[in-house]
Amino acid sequence: MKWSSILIIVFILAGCIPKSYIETLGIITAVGYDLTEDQRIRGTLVMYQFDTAEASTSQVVTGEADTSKGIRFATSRLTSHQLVSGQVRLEIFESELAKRGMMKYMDTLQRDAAISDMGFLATSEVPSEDLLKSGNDEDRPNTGNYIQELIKKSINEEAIPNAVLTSFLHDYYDAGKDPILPSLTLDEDKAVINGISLFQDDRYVHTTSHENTFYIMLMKQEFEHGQFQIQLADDALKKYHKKESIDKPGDGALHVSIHELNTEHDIHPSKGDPTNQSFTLKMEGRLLEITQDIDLKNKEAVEALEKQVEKEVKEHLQETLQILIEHQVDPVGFGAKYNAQNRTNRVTKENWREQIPSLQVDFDVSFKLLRYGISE
Amino acid sequence: MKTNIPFHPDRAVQAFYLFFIIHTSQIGAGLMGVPRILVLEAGVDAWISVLIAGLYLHLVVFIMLQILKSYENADILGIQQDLFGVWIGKTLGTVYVLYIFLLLLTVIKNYIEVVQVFVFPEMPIWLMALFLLSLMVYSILGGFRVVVGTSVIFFFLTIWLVFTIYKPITYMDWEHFLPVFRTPAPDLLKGVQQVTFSVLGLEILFFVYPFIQDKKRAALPAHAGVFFTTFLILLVTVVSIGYFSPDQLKAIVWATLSLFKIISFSVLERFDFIAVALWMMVIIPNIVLFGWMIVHSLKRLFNAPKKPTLYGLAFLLFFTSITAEKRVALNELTNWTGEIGFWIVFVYPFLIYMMILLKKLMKKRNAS
Repeated sequence: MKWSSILIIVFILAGCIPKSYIETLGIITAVGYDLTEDQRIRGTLVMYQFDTAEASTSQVVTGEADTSKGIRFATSRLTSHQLVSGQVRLEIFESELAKRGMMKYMDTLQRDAAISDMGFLATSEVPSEDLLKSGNDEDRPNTGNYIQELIKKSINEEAIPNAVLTSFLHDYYDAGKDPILPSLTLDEDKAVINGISLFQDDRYVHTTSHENTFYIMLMKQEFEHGQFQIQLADDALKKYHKKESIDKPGDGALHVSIHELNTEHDIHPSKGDPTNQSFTLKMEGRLLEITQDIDLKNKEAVEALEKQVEKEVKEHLQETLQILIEHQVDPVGFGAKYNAQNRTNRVTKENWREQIPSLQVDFDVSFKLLRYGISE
Repeated sequence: MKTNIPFHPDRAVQAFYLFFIIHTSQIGAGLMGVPRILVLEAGVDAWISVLIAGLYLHLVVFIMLQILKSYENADILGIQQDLFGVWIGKTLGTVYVLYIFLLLLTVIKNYIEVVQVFVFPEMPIWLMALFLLSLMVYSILGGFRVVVGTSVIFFFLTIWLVFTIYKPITYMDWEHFLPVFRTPAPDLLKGVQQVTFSVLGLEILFFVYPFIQDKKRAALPAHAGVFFTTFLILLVTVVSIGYFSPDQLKAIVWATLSLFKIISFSVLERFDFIAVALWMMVIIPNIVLFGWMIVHSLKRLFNAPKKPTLYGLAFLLFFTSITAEKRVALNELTNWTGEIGFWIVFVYPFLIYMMILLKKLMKKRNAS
């Protein structure tokens, strides 16, 4: 009797815990930050609402403030729902704002335990408000959700590097390594990925093209099922054109498309000198498209093709590296790699930035063509 | 107070329960934040500190068992009285009780802080304190066997949380550990001390020993318990250093809980909330075992009646835990308790052991 009464009291006391009814909540799923003319930040929140009376399930609101949480407060005037940030899965920063350093706007992302570490980050070339209010969202519940799915899918397909909050923070805090994020833009009122943005620490500096994105990823991570297209010299495989071909086999440019790309790489910094490194890359893949009629039954033709791909990839890697050096960024982590293997002359966040312009990397690429489809 | 406690087989437990008793009283609120305080002292070589601390723990357990073995069926309170006389013995016993009270208070307050930060910022402290304390009173009223049973059950209810660490492991960057041995030795030793702060609770062996049935087999489970504690601390430290960047880790208060933040299942998006709630089950054995130690010691020292003491303890804990509200004050309390605990748990047994050896030597001389 005594214990049952205590049990009842405990159950009643459980009612003291604050409750949240889902109908009263505005669940924020995506946030965009822009810089206003008077140097404040304008935040755009995309939120779900589960109100039976409302026709649409999501709403976009905008507010101006000086802090990220201030935006949430400012926007709460605009809606009858209680805004909660436990389901924020996408944070977009306008590149103008990101140029000033993103960490000061991201403090709350780390500090507030309600915010997930697995949300995606991205930068935007147009104001993120336009992005989140853009019309075409491919029948997703809202544009925020569409962009989030777009980024998630692209990461899974290994078209862009991982962009979750935790990997951004990790790369930011590591000495001798800079983070990268996908860059978004508007294309005929539709949000699309237009490359990746490079950062010096947390300051945005440059957006690369799609082609360079692939080569940066080739240096930064290892592929498991990626794909890429590459143009070889027009007459590189002239010797191996099919003789019995009906068409003129050697016409036009030589493009190849490699799928199921699997790579392994290794970075070897030289002892004591962080600016002198060598990079070994092993690639494997299958050919799914080639624009000239090549006799692939011939073993020598396949070998020549591999050699050509190696040569081109090597050149492109070197070109991409020059872009990184030009902007003094190191998303690959050459500095961090050096640190892991050397006790003296260590790289720090400060001195590495000055050393990047004199960085020299020797690339050693090997490519193996495993299969070439159902025609020979 | 007699030095030895009369042995009742129906109130005792088997020796292998020592594993659960020692392990669950060591693992608690400390595990939530240990990677960070370790890295602050010992840098990325913190795992070496954990290994050294583990060896030291085994040494302490060995010494404690040696002390206990030299008596028939005594606990630390009786041994102190035997060595130092009634008055000093009782004073030292009271110091023990006060220290365990502080420890208990830190555990409760730290957990409530975590719940407030992670899940319910608006939840009143008194409510959480009431929940935890009613559970404590409930199981201690059941007697020693129920207390031990609590620690066994909650061990199995929470140990599966270890497996969820596979996800942070996939995000680990092993290069953070290279090159090894960069931290100077003094800093490593400071790290060792930080580990010991997080594994206080080992002193329970001094109190439960008279209630062990087959004392000859007590060594193995006791060492196994300490080993498992070291293993868990090593695991969360290594994974945290790899998963977070070292500079980032220095800013993360409860790194172990933050590791849960990237775990999500298709039916459960935010596993970290579940983990924080489940952590209550990790600290309940702490609270129950420490509470039992206090009630039992007061009975032994001053012949205080058990039930009133227990209710008094619960009230006292309730009021002290709802007074201080700021994180800063809590941090001070935690550091303080750690400092006291370090001397009581990890240094003091060696002193007692020397006293016992000295006493034996004197006896031999007198006899010859």
